[in-house]
Amino acid sequence: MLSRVADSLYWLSRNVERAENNARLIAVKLTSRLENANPTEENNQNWYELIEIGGYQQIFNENYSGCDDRSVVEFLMFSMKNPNSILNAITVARENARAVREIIPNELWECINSFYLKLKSYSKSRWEMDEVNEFCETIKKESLFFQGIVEATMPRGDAYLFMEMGKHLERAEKTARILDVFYHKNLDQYENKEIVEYHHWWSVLQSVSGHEAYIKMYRPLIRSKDVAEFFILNMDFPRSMIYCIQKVRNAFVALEEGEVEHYSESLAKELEYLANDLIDFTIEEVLYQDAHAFLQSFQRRCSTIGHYITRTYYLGEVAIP
Amino acid sequence: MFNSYKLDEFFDEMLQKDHLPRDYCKPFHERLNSVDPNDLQERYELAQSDFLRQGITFTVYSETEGTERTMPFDFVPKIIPPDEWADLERGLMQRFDALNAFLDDVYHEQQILKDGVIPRDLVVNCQHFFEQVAGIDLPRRQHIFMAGIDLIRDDSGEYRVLEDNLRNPSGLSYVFQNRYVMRKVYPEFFNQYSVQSLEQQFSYLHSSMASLAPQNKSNPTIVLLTPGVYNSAYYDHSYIAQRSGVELVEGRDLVVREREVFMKTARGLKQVDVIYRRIDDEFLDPLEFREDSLLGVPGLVDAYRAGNISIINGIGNGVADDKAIYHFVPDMIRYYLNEEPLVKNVDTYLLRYEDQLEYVLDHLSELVVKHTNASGGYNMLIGPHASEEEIEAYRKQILKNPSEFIAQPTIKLSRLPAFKGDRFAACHVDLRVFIFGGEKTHVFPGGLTRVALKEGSLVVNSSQGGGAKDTWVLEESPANV
Repeated sequence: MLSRVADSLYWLSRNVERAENNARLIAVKLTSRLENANPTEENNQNWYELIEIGGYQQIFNENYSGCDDRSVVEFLMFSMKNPNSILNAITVARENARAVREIIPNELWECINSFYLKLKSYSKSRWEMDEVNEFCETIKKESLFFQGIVEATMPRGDAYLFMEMGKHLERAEKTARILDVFYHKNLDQYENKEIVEYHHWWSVLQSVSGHEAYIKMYRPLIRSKDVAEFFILNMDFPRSMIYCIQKVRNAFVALEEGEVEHYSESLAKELEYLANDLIDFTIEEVLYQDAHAFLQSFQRRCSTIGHYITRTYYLGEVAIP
Repeated sequence: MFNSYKLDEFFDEMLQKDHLPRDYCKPFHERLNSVDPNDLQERYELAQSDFLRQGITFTVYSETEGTERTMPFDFVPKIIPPDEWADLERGLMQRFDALNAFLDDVYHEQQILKDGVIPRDLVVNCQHFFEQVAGIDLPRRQHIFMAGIDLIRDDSGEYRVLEDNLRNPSGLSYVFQNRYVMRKVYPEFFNQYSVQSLEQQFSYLHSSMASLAPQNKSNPTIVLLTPGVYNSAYYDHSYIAQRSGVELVEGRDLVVREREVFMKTARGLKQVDVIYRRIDDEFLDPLEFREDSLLGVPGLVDAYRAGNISIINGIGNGVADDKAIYHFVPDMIRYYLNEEPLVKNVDTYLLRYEDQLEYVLDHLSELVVKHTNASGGYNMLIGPHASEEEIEAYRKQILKNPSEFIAQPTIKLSRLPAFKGDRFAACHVDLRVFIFGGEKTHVFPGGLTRVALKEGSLVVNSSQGGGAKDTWVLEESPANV
């Protein structure tokens, strides 16, 4: 497979995953906002977390005067100035899909193309806040449809495996980021701390669609330690960090047919170390060494893995010696 | 729906002068008369949304951001009866073979120039004649892999060649998409007709490409070289690559080592044998042609010269589809094949000849005059539509260097009905037929029928209101009903 094609497939699935995660976050914020009925200040703070998770606070501050609902939603969903906006992610995904349309199933191309056209028409419409939830639903559904087509129609060859790597690396990083932003939020200031805390973690779980799975495992007792364990170390939940890293690793192993060659050694090692660290740690140990530091280091290691993938398979503009 | 339909002085491909349908059009015509216009409108919209969803669009750059538009599709097909097609097929194969022989000759012995059949200066001064590729022996001496020959029908219904496209003819994918949408949205229109299927065409296409591999290599690695996603014909490139099972590559995916060509894969370099390129000659190799080209591959022409790579269509084919050389194609057929041309040219005056120049200057207001080095309708005079001043300005241009101009009578393009919501209108059409060379010459059944959907307009180009129609080559004439 051409390196350029592998690159496009990798970024195609990363960007669809990114769009879906952003839509989940926005949807959760919308509903938690209604349930909390907190004063505006708190509300604005809530929105700002989403911008922090996306990681482009500066661009937001430069382009918007305040953190009102409409500004935040526009920034997260439609702004082409925000490299992480949903429309931007889907535009990039579609360009990548177009560059490999002869490789992917036609249904998959039509799916991402319709997805883009839909989003584009939303962004051009004079949308109201009460439509945003529906937008999020559509985005989630389109992404799930996309994944469904990949699962149901693509042969498990190189193309599929590069998409697997992209999707799960993106997901692992995003889960860590969500947990990180929410984890170091100080809830002590509230009088009704217990209720606020419950709401807080409940919406965190919702944002990765993990609330139902969590309850089955831990009963409806929501404690930050359990949520962290669920997010980081749960072997069965498809959005947990360990699950996603295992998936990236499995895809790599399948791609290399179980061999480790000279050119793939650093990638193999990094994946192995990261997976082993997650397997070896208990949640107590993680929290003992400071959750924030742990999550930060995890994100850094994910991005290192991303670099190694690029280097190993000559993705992007890499000169061949 | 046909009440206000006008025939005027043009040849109508569906209706005769007495407004009765031609025999082979009868069943279709009856169907058009019996369907509900509202139903047609609904289906028309369905067809357009299908094109949009599939991303079969071209980009219009007039606004700040590019807008994507679909190519309008009209569901009344061009129907070609079997005997008419058989004649056309023979004529086009003949023309194709003569053009190929001409290319091989001008890049080798130049016998046709020595014999004075075609003026030497016309060939060597043509901007698409490249000395860089003279003397290279191509596999099977095949310079043309795919030709797109544009045909029109004059006011008597006779087919004539308007243009030979031997460089990068595009549009093949639209032929398939038009058929696909037609089958999907208007399935019952095919009743009573047995239309030649397009399904096996890609296996012909693939074996054509494979047969042109260097040193007759079996199982060659074939790639389609595209300028990339932003090229207006990108859809065509990706569709052909997918359907014929070859890798779609960009210039940056290829590299030349020791006069051999490789593609960069996720597992290192892989040798390439055949490049079906959809990049113009000038951009292929910055070491030989334009230095500023970022689309091409440095060293590619050298590998071509060494016989290690096939580049199809061949480099330098433009000398055979030049506007002035066009005039001599019938002579080529006589010269190389010793046959009389079966499909005629449109009458063409070469202004390099004193007597023809004189005639043209006297009849400027009736003629279309074109500059031989311009393409796509640029810098041309359409006499009947031009003002007195425009004609005079153009006359001065001609007189500066008459040999750079050709003239043709304004052509009365034939017409076909097109759907206009509540009625049918007669719109002008032309037809691009695709022909492949290789082990043997093969004519693709049908082709791309383009239609000028703006009534009265002669411009079939999609950027100016042109659309497409399905093209049916019949296996046999329809059963009488």
